[in-house]
Amino acid sequence: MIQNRVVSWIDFRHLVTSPAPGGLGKPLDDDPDQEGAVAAPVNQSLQLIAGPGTGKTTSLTLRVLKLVFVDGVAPISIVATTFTKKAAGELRSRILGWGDQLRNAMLRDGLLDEEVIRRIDLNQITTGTLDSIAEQVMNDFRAPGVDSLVPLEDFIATSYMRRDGLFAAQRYQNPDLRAYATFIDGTSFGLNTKKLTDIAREYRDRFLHDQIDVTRFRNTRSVQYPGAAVLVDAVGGYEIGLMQRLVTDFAGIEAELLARLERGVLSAFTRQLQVVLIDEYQDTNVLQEQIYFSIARAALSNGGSIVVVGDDDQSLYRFRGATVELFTDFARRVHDGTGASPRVIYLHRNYRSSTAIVAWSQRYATLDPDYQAVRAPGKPALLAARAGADEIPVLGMFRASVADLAQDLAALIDGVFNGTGFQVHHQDETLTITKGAGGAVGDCALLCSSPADYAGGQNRRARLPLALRQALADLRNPIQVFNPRGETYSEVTPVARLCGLLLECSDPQGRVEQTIVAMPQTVRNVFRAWRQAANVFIRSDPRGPESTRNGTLASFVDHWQRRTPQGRGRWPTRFPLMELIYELLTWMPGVQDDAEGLLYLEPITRTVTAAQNLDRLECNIFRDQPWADRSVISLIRNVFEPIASGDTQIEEELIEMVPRDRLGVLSIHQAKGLEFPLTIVDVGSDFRSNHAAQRMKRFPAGGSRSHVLEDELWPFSRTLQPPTRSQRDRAFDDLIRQYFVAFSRPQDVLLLVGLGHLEDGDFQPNEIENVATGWTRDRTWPWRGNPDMWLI
Amino acid sequence: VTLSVRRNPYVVPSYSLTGDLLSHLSCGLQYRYQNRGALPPSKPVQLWFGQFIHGTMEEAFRRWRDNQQPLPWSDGEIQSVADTVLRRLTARGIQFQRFIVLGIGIERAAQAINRFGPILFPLITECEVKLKGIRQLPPDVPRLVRESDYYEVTGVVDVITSAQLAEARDGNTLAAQLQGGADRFEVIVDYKGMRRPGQDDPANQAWYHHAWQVMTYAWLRAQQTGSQPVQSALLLYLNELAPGTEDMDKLYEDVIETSPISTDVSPTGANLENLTRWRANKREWSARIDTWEDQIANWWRTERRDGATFPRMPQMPTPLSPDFLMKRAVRVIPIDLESIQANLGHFDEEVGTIERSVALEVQTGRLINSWRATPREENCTICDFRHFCPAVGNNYRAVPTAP
Repeated sequence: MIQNRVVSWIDFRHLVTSPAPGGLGKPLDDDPDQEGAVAAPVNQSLQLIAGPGTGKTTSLTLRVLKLVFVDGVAPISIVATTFTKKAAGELRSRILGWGDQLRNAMLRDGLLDEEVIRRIDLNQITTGTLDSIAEQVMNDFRAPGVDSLVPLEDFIATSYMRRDGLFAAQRYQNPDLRAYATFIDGTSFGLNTKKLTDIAREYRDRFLHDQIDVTRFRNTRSVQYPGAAVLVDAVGGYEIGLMQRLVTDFAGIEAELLARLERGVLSAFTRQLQVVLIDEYQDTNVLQEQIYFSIARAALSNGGSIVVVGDDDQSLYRFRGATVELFTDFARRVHDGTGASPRVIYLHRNYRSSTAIVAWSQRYATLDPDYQAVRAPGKPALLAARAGADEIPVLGMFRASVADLAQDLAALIDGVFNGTGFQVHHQDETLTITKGAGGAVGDCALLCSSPADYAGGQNRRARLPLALRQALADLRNPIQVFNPRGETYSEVTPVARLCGLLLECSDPQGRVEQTIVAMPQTVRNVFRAWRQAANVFIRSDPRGPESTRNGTLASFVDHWQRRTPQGRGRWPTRFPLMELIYELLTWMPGVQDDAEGLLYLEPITRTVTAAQNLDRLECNIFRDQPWADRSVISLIRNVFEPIASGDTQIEEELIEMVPRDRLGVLSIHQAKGLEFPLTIVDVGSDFRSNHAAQRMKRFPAGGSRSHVLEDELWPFSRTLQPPTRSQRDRAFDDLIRQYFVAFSRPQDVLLLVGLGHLEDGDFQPNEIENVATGWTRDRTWPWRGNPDMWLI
Repeated sequence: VTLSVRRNPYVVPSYSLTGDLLSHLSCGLQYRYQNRGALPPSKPVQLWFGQFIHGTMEEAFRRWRDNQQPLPWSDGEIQSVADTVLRRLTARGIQFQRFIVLGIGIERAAQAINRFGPILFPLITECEVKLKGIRQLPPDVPRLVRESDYYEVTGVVDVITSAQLAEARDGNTLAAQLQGGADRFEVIVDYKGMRRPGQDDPANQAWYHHAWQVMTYAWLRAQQTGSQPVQSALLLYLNELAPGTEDMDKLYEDVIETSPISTDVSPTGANLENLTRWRANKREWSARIDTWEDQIANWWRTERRDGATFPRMPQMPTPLSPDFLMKRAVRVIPIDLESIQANLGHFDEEVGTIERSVALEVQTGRLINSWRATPREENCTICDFRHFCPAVGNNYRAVPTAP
């Protein structure tokens, strides 16, 4: 597996640290921890505990390149995984780009000859998310006749769970199941089939992710809750359905990979492995851990190592099954699982943010004494290491109403990016924030717990993202917002229009829709709104291509409704829905010609493609009865209902880049891994009172469903111990981590915004208990009167 | 306080030779919608056929290699391969939509496995080799969206080595075309789910694009550890083994109606006579095909479940000989360092064009005018965006009519 040594560590280090363009210009000298991570021998397993902005990608990339160029590790024997496709793309790009720069420098300096260089093919390094690597490995190393596995679209999996799990044997009506679901959800409010399906899917995922002994769980829990057995049966029915259709879901792909690894049928793959690197390890689940340990055992037996990188303070994905304890307890677990003894290295020099922001983030992480027990032991404080930048204290903007807040925030953004700067005053001091040369409003972002324009529930209260969007639009030089998740997908204008037109063409006036009995009222309401949007659009007489004068949308839809051809001939026996979508697009130039418009169109076409597999009618609209009505029912059930009920969402991976001339509004989860020069964090614009309904988002009284499921299932896990902390404590820990991530995104300016009063310079955000504004779980508030920020 | 300026992400864009570059060459605007925008075609005939033929050849090779299943295979054995691949495609949401497409697909797969399998499979040393490499982006590409001076190019091929060729049995006609030259070399193999392109069609440059493609494959292969110099590429145009109506029309056009003849493998003798009579026989042939489509539909819906094998394609009234069709299916492109160097720049420039379009779209906020639309009758006729595509020469630009 080891090729010939290529260059010495001294030469490699010199090229890495030499200034660009001759070298990479990475000053390893200043950061002994990073140098240690890069220089460790090939057989030294590592756990890198890397705080925000500490050069994690740089360390991983240089480690990989050092393994190849100095240790002579064959690129094909290196696997590097990350959490998102975007992060995987960036890591791969760095390896290839920097690798080529180093290679050229080595040739230039005569450190190696061309023949040696030719043998080094960095492209053979495997990079990707675990799911993409699982698919690739099982496809590349499969036996003849064995099917490669394709993960189902999420809404299709949900549809199968409803059909095979809950409708089968009428389980959805089973009183025991409903009682158990009420216990899990903490309330019987809104316990409909959709919620039962969601719970059943969550169990299916957690059975696999947490490696649960399902039989023992069923036998034990059904004594107290007979519904637990019904739930297990529903999951079983779903799994049988998947097997019969030769498909699986995402959890199933990973489970199958582990099964094949354990059966030894992937030995052609594992035989070649020597180094396994895993990024964002704090968001790993037990199933993934077992996969990593399995391939790490192969790497270790080849004289290699396992390297994990992460930060427990930035673990955000408990609701997807992530278990942060796998990271904080990594040294013991990996030793038990593989025999490796990893060296722990703390990367704590922050190269991203100003001194004030680093100090703020650090203080925030250490504010709550009860949180310290779950942090990685011995973690050093973050150290500001960014050179030569201007400094400004952390800012706070708190106003009496969301409207006031949006107005003042818009004025600040306008001043910075449209004007000559925005002045902030504090006591006797004044500072001006100006954009950098070549800067644009894309250098600023608003981070919120959710980017939704409206609050959920009946009253549809407008939230800060919407108020800010409107305030920015009202400026003399309006600023646009980029927030594709702001509106509920089914309510976005092009989506409503197009789906309404499709409904009006395929099922005029909802004649067939009315014959469907079991359909949630919420879905019917969305359909009605869609049809209204379509009819308003038709009445606006939209124009098609400029070169044609006749052929209105009204006439097209009318002929469709009467099934009368506009040309000669007979109406076809069947017409594909997909073709109708593209034909209707002709009257929607805003969608054809705009990247954001396409982003909204793609989920509709994706839903149609996935739904083609659901029945034999394959998303066609048939002419003759009984197929005519059946085909429309099939479309309503399999295409329109998933879109209306929110199962279909936009694919953010398709966003080439957030436009530089728009203000990004992101959830804190979306912002993970990103950085912005000016970062606005919404710490409390949703909270006007200490109302119990939003406690979970600011000061939890107990756990969420994820925490309940951990208590319920971990006692039956093959590898996890039952939780030792209360659900409430875990909910607090999660909130602290969320805002730690938010506070560590800015480079230059951190601005906290929310509701509250300014009285004589005192900070009084309505005395609402809120983790984001520094409350600790014992109900003390260290920031009271002294928030250590400039209030503006 | 002066704010920093947000840096663009460091991303090396990845381009597949077939999925991206050949698609973009075919039409830039369609590529933007379908490949970058992930909008699936409403009539995915070419997509289905390409995937099906690649899938069946790969699966057949694995069965032949791992299960020692001697060739030729019965219709039942072929069908088992086809069933496996159909299942995979269905799981990926790629469906044949029309029974005639399914029938022709299976027929071509059967012909390819039983005609090429015996002479090709023994030569293949590595199957489905993934090729990846990075190249410098053209210098004038704006860095508006991302930082990086490189792009990644990818492809997948089968590989034949000179060692395998040396062991080929006497009478292996394919091996005979590939032997000779250096002591140790390789041949790369690629299957094409299309007819052999004409050479002088100004509206369709596929003949040349395929040459650029294999030259780039050869360059990528040369970067891989343990590879030998690529001496030639073997392209197999599998439509030729069982030509459809459009393929015959095109061949007639290339040979009978174009002067000079616009294809390098043209019929003589009885084959030429039979081709000359194509137009006269077309109606009869179409009737036979219509009947066959019904048979396929019936087989797919019912008979298949009772164990019946697929109905074979009917013969043409005046058929072209199997040897001639085999000859048309095979294209061997000689490769050396010079030809590689001479051709590599074509795809660099194509990537440059794509990256410039990406930047223009970001700059202008508009999509349609940022991408090069290339109207070609055979493309536009089934293009989902034909009703509003502004390209001069798009004859379909008009509002659609209810069917």
